[in-house]
Amino acid sequence: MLFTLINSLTLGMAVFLVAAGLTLIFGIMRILNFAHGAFFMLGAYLTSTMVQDMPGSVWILIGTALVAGVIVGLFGLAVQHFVLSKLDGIDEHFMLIATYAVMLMTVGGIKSVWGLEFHSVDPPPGLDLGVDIFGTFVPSFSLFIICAGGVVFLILDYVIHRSWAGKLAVAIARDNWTTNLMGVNGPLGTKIVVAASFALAGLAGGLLLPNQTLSPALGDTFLLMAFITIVIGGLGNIRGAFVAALIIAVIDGLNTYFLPSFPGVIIYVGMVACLLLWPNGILGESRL
Amino acid sequence: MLNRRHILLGSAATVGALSVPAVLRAQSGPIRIGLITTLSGPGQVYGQYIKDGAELSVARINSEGGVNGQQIELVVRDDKNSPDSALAAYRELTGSGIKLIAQGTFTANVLATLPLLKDDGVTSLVVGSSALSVTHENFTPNMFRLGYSAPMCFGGYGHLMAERFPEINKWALVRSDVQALADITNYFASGLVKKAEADGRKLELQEPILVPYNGADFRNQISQVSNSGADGLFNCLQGADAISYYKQARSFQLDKRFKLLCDSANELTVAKALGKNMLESTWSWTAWYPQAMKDNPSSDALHKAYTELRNDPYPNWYVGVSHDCIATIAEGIKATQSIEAADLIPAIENLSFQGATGNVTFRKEDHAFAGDLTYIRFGRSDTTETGWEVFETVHMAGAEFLEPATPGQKL
Repeated sequence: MLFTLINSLTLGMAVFLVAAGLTLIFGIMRILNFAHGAFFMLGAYLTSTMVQDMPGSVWILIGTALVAGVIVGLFGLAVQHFVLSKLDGIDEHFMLIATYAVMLMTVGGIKSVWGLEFHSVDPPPGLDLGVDIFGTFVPSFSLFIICAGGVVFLILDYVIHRSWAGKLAVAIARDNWTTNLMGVNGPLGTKIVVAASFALAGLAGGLLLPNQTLSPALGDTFLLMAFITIVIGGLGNIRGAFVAALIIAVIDGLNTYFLPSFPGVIIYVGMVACLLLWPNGILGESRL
Repeated sequence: MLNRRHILLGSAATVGALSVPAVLRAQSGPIRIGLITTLSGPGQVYGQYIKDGAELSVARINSEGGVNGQQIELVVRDDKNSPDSALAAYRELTGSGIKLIAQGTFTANVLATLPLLKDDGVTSLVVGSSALSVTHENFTPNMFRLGYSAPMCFGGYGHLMAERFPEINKWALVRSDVQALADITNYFASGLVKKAEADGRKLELQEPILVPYNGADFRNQISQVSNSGADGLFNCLQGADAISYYKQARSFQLDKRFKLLCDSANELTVAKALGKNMLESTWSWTAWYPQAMKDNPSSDALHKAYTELRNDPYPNWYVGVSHDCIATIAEGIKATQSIEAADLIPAIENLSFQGATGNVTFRKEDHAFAGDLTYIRFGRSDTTETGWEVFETVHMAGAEFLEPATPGQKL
């Protein structure tokens, strides 16, 4: 049971890492970014190119994931400039279609550059085996994911709710026009948030790389769970996404423990139950 | 000016032209074979193998002078892994006069076209579709299935493991939660039990542990199977799921906890991805392992051509089977001098030739593949550059593991 709970925490943090960028971009621009999974995958492929078969250490893995995040963030700026900014102010459905098209283009590009074959990158030395916690075997990489998810949440929560930059982003999200009147460069703020959202996707791809198999379908694996997370947590709410990721993961763990013949099914039951109880998400919908 | 003599001459010419075999009428152009496979969306990686194998087969046949002096032209269409698109591609190909089709990857797409083959006079060779219904309740005489029949491949696999490892009496089974993989697991288990019972042994088979398809994390299930107390383990996951599962299982040292590991059908895909972190040793079914078939010129030629094309000396088995699909059509045309289904079907039913994957032959009643089976054992190696090697290969005749033929009826 302890193992199941620790593993649930691992999955929860992995899903949160992917969902963080998704909820950030929704919070400020009301965009449900279908391309998020593709950019998560791009981050993973970029990191694999930098580390080859295995990162030499944990710090190399973190460093290359950060570099991948920056590169994906720059791609995000390009998407903002050429696609999202052109659709500003029109119906949100068009945004969905536009981001879907961006996803197709990104996946196509990844296939062209890296091919269709499966690739694998190993965990760095020290994270490839396990440790004993109260008599329970726990894979070291699980602990790494839990720590990574926790640190990313704390940084995001601080930046959004405590820092000057975060408060500015919240102001832009709530009333862009008035913020502009007060001399704040709204479009620049929007660009920074979009780039940060994409960068988070790339960072998540890099950090989770040794846990997954690289293939052009990698983005789909996490995207659905990330969407469920931000819906349950409250669209655009970073704290909600964190709590929801944990709830989903615990539900999934209990599902495996008590109903092993129906893997992955109870998540959807949990989602329906959460939405019936909290139609706007556990912590409510938010514009950051 | 048109007179009675001209009309008579013209009529005689028309009757003459219509009375010669279809292939002769088409002599002005190449023999056109349609290939419908998955070239986008999930499954694209397998569709690409199928396309490569078919194209290399056509290139080889054409370089050897074609079929009865005629070149072959392959017309490739993408089924986008959707029955609707498969059907649209089929209609486009048949609408342009094509009567020979090779098709794969997935059963749902194949089933979309099966009901039309007979009325359209099309002969179809299928690769990759494992569902029983294709040769049973959805049987049509115009279709032949090559390379892959789940009861034969995995019943034979279970039989081989029970025969080779009589000391393994307790088995754990892990599979993804999809029907095709449930069938494969059941056939493997059935092959194990039948052979053990025939040898007077009783096996303990645990309930399969299910993992989500296209899942992100398998550690709960890996922990469960690690504590199962079984000696033998059959893993039935596919593609990226299988590789992620083995990666996440590494910290649990799964390969040290079991005396015998069997992967269903991922063959060298797993080893190529895991490299030096490959499991110590595992078995897998494959339809084609060219390194163990050096005495087969067709296999050897295809292997060389593929290695040149993709710079990959370890092709997936789909390459070999799709090569043999085209080779089967070509052999059939050679034998009958016709591309018409009425002539070609009996010819293919009676074929037995050495393809790249070994002996190619079909059971007459339901057109199920009845050729050779191949199993390989491979694992980690300190002596190779790749970090892994194939330790042994077993070839078996497949016909004895075929399920009873019930064309047109559910088994």
